[in-house]
Amino acid sequence: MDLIMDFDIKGGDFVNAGISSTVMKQYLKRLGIDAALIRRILIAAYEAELNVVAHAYEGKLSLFLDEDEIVVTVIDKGPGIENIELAMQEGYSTASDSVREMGFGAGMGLPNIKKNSDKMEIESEVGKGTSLTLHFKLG
Amino acid sequence: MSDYFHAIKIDEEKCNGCTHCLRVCPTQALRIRHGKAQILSDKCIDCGECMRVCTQNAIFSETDKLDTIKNYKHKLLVYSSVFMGQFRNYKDYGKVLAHFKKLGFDEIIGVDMGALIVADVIRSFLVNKKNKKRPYIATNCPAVVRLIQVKYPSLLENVFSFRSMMDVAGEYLKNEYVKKNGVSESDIGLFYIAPCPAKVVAIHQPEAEKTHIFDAVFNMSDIYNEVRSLMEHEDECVECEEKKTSKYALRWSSIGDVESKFREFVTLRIDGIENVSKFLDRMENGEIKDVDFVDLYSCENGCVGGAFTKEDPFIAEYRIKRIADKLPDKVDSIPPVCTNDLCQLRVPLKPRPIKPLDSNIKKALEKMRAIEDINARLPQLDCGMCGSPTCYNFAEDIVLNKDVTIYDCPVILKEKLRNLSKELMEMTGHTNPIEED
Repeated sequence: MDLIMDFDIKGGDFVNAGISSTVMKQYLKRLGIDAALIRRILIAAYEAELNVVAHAYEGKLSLFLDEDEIVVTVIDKGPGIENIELAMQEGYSTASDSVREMGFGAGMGLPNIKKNSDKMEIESEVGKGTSLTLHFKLG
Repeated sequence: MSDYFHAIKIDEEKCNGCTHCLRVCPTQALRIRHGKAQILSDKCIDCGECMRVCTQNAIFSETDKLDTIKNYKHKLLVYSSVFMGQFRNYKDYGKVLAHFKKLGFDEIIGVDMGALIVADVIRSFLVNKKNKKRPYIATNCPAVVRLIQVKYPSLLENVFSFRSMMDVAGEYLKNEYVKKNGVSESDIGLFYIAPCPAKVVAIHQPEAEKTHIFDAVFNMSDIYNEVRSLMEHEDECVECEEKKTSKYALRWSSIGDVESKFREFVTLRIDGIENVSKFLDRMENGEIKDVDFVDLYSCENGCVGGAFTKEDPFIAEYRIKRIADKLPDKVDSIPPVCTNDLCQLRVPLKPRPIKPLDSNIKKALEKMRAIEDINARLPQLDCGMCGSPTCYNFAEDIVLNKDVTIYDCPVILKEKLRNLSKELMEMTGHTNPIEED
């Protein structure tokens, strides 16, 4: 599996969240990946990136590709998730008020990521960080 | 190679290969090859941006001649509401409208009638919370619809399945005329006065219809000249036309003021093709939330900025707003119900995605790497001297064998020549002294 590109994510930097989406999109479009698939990848990646921005200290988003699938990984150093099952429920959120005031943290992040990817793997250790691996099938 | 109809054409005699058009094209659909501009048919959306910047008048748009109406027994006209802002004596717009009859048209309405009709069905659609693909995108600007088909096909699901105001107005006028006069539809010619080339294409090759709604389309500047010369000969207002429309219908249909028409929703008008592209990018990334409905226009200021308009768009906008001030908030007669027949697109909009690098993903990736390698050698000036709009497009054109080599880049060529001359100098300096005299 080839690493295509990766991006550093800074906690609290809402302004620059989304730049990675634009760069990835351009690449995938030029490559000729199906438009609906690109959109799913972008939505999932953007939500995952925002999770890092809203909750963690720093992280990395990477895009991989081979003949059968596209994989996006988002790995962060942060507080981790105490109860993954709970975090997966729609509407559940631990976001602070100030984050919510900006229109984020509605508790739709993880459910939305799962919905848009073909397979989602999540590992988290409290006090250390969270690692997300998102699989998207090609063809 | 492609079956797409285009209104935009290039006059090769006039084109001097200057590259102005290359730089403004939002879909990178232009190339200069052998000193002349070429349009890539599968990418062009007929927005008319290239036409505006051409210094040689070499880019033009084909429209129909006014004579065409003679081929029809009954002649019906829909005019773009923008037309009302084109004249200095805009306050007497009734006179302008009356002159249409002198040009030979039997029945005339403005696109604002379409706005009046289609607004209710959009409103009830947006009220329904089940319609979740927000923001929805209006179909009013055909250049935007095609931009989405070509560059943002995943957003087609956000585009309304309702017809544009123009098409609704046309269909309504025709239906009413048939009903009122009991004439055969085949005797009717339905015409449109367009503010831009994008509408010309929408009429000759409608995107989501089974048949043509309009029979011919005229360039607004041609009609402007006709009406103006009629007005010069006459001061009196004979058979002046009253406008039966509402303030908001007129504002929406001419300057895209969707906000005051739909105050109960979050609506935005976004104008200018660059702004539209940026917004669609964000929408695609999933960044746009809490917006119900957007009306996007390729031209700055909306249709008043169309390439066929004569008047400065800001002045035209001012005049239209003043005309609207005098109109009622609501019309007395209830606008006709927007039935499916009248307002619904006949077939779903289809994507027009640009051909992938290769159908095999491994090979596509190889080509992609080759493009990136070449691109890394290029100066990133995006100067257009090679005939491609950007360095990246140039690298792409080389890899995809589009009639160019890397030495079409003047920076690379200069570097090569410099190295060659250095080698030549070295060679002359190291020639065998015995052979010299």
